[in-house]
Amino acid sequence: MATSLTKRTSSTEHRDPHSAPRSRGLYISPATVKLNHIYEQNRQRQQKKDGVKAPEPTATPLAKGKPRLLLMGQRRSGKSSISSVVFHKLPPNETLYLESTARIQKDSLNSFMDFQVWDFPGQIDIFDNPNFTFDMDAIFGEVGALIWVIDAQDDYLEAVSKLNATILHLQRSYPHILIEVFIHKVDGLSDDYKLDIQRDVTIRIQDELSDQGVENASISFYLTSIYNHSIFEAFSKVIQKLIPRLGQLEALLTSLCRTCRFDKAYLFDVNTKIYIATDSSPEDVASYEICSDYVDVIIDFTEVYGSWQRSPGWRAKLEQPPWPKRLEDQIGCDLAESGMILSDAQRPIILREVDRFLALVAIMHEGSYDKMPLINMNVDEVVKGLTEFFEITKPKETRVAGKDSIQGQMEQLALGS
Amino acid sequence: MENYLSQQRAHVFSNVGVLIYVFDIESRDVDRDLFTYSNIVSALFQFSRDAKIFVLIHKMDLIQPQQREAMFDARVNIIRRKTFEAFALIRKQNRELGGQDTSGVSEADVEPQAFATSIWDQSLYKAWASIIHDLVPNLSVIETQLAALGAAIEAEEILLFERTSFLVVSKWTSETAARENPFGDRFERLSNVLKAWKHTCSKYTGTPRNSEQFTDFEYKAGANFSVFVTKFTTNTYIQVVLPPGEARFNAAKLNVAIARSWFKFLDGPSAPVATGSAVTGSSGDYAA
Ligand SMILES: Nc1nc2c(ncn2[C@@H]2O[C@H](COP(=O)(O)OP(=O)(O)OP(=O)(O)O)[C@@H](O)[C@H]2O)c(=O)[nH]1
Ligand SMILES: Nc1nc2c(ncn2[C@@H]2O[C@H](COP(=O)(O)OP(=O)(O)OP(=O)(O)O)[C@@H](O)[C@H]2O)c(=O)[nH]1
Ligand SMILES: [Mg+2]
Repeated sequence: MATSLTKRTSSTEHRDPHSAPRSRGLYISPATVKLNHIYEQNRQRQQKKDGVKAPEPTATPLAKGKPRLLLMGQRRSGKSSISSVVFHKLPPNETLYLESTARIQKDSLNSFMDFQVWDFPGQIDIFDNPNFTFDMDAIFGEVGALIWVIDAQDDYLEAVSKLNATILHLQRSYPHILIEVFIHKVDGLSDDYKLDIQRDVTIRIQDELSDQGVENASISFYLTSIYNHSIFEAFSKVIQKLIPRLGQLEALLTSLCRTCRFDKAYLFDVNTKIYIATDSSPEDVASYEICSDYVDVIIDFTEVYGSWQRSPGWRAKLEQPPWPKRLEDQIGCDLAESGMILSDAQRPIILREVDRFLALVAIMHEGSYDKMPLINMNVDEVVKGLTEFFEITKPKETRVAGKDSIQGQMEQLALGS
Repeated sequence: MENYLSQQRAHVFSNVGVLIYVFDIESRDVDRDLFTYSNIVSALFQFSRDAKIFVLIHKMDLIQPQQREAMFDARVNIIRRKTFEAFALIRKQNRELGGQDTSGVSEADVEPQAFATSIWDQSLYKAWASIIHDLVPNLSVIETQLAALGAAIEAEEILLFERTSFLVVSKWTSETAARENPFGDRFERLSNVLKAWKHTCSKYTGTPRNSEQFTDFEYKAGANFSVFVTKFTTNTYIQVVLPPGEARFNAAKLNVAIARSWFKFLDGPSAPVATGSAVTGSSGDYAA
């Protein structure tokens, strides 16, 4: 019932130059429930339900802990900028003021899945450091993915050879690590040039690795920039590789799109605007952009009108005639729901909150506005399905206890802000 | 610029309602900027003694965040002083030479209203909204009617946006919400949000930025609040913020549709911003 969208903390406004400098602290929802708790709970619940059958083993051995994303690459390649923009909502142009990173910056992120992001200093070579021996297990032991950032606007040969050396180091002891290469700062480069660079980097890495006898390293490449949605898309795809049973989520969204005539549906992590799943229709940057911006709109409205406490008499007044009912019974849905009609073709876009971290956003075919009631029903069903997927069930008791829990949340909120 | 000040002086500076003067905070020649400014406001005091002066200290994004406030304050202080100096001089001249009568005008009337702005954040919305607010005719009528509508539907807040710029033309906030909502900057913030959203839509649909991009927006935030934004009159969108509840929401939508006719006069022929205002400055123009 208490949810991140409808009850957001007022994270400091970042567009206003007069506001105090934003704290570097992580944005954490007031209702934060660590996901490994949930995972644990769910596993136990699941085990009770299924008797001896343990939950499906996951593709990688990582899902049990907190998957860790390592950001590595040359100095000034943009690692800290990426982590600040994606995880701390820093406006891209303010990354100009970031200082070079001197030691590993560890962030942990509470969301539908807890993960850690480690931002490495580009100036330090962890494999070959005269002053200090790094504990490799502590760094790479629980890693989900290594994100290697290459500055595409700079000479990238050294970055490529460093990456090769890193892959060779890791192949021996940590072969399961996903290697994700972000060819970064591609804003301002022509499309042709971007593809040329991507081809060149790919070939250089694969050739050298096969010269060294490494054939099966899993390496993916992305063209990214903090000045547009590409960095969020790239992160989305990396994170998706770490989600257990992603296929089921995708199937759920695909069937929703088919029944409701959606063009595209995304399941968003609201705080980061990373999408953790989409339907199986072809990728479409434009749809991602508009859906992601829609989440932003909702977040802004939620902060402005929903992140502060109403006066004590507020509820009592609202429960009087002409609507003498408990507020909970006056509303249609206790989760955030929103829709908008785009003028060009009467095309609706909808958003539905799934739980405190996730929201479903979908954009529809032209002219499907008149089918809204039917669509709402179907969306309700899918949201239920998603909730079950994440096994964050909301038993009836919470509803009765709702008043207290909301008050509790609000007090927390007031204290926190 | 020189031309405006010499041959065309009377022509340009007569019947000015508003002067918007833009300073580049990173200008290499601040003295020259101030000198030009003094000349401009002198001409203004000479020919349009009732004009309002708005000063935008622009490109603030180029200044380190911690230094912005101090830089802004320092610059505004100098500008204020220059304004008063120019005013005193014109007044003296008028007294001696018998020019336009400035006796009824005090320093407080000519004091420029200053804003720190940048095209990279919401600051321009705040500045422009204040400027527009000063220019809208029949403002008090609009405000009274919004208040009547707000009270009738038990809204928390109603905003009226200009259709293309999404600047807040007028607003009404219930007494409690006005007391309790901690977001003092929410009007410019929402302008910025909706304007940015319009650009997103235009990119998606491939239609021109300034054409209509959306008609209806609804958001029900559980047992927290509800809001809708909808096309209102030809030139405006209305945003209504309500306490939660389906019935309340539906009733409000109906009432807003009915109230549309009260506001028809907003579609009168004169576009408010275009009349009697001049934008000038040392650098930095923008499309808000
Ligand atoms: N044009 C462009 N510049 C970027 C982008 N991402 C980062 N930058 C710029 O790159 C510069 C260096 O960024 P950082 O994030 O500090 O680089 P880093 O990799 O963390 O550097 P170290 O901490 O020294 O290892 C900053 O001036 C950023 O503004 C991008 O996508 N496009
Ligand atoms: N950093 C920054 N640059 C800005 C801002 N506003 C405008 N600029 C830049 O300033 C430069 C000049 O802008 P213009 O709008 O052409 O300036 P202007 O006042 O119309 O100039 P004239 O027509 O010569 O009087 C352009 O390169 C803009 O991109 C701002 O808020 N921040
Ligand atoms: Mg760094």
